[in-house]
Amino acid sequence: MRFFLDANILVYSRSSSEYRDPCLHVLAAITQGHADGCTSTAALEEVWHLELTARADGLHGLTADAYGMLAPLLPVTDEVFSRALSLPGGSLGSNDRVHAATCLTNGIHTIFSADGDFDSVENLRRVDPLDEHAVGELLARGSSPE
Amino acid sequence: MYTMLMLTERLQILVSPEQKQRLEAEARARGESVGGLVRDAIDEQYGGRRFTFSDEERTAALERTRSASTIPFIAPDALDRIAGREIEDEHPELFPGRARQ
Repeated sequence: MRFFLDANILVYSRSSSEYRDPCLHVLAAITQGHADGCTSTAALEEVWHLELTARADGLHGLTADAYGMLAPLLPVTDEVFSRALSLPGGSLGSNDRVHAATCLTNGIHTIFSADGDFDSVENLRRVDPLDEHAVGELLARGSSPE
Repeated sequence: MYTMLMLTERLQILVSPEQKQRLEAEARARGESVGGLVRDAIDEQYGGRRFTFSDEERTAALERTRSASTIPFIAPDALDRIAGREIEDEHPELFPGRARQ
């Protein structure tokens, strides 16, 4: 089952927090071919922006390594942008709308994210990194089709 | 280069002698096995994940991420706001509803 990695998952893989281990665990599963996670140009641009603005080089190399693990990235196309514009209002910001639209346009109905704002998106199920049961389910489904 | 390395399913198919010769010639030319060529064709024709970088390169990227320096936790909503932060700081009048962090 294919799922989308939100930008915060990549950031938390380099964050001193309880999120780090589950995020690294899922990245490892993707890298080893046991899980079918992907991300987009827009999500990685968010990570890059943070990397370039963070102090003390704390995130140095994160974007390049994430690209190395996950490329090719899903594109933000005209169709994605149009769909993002048409998503119902709510607390979702513009970047998150683009991510949600990227998922739906590509037939992806699961997003791996710590951001509860995605819970409001119809036809998109969020898996939180701290939800051990849901993460286990995500990985158990491996890289088989949805 | 593929990441679907769990080759656990056996598929037996019949092909013509000419098809077999073409497959073997192509495999020789590419330095691949006939099985690898068939797997390539399945993925190209019927979908499948093809990564830009090799298994080794992706594993190295993962290991760098594992061993790299870390930053303190930033809450998801704060991450969302980072992109607009410079504008908020320079033009707070545009964001009257937002509390400074």
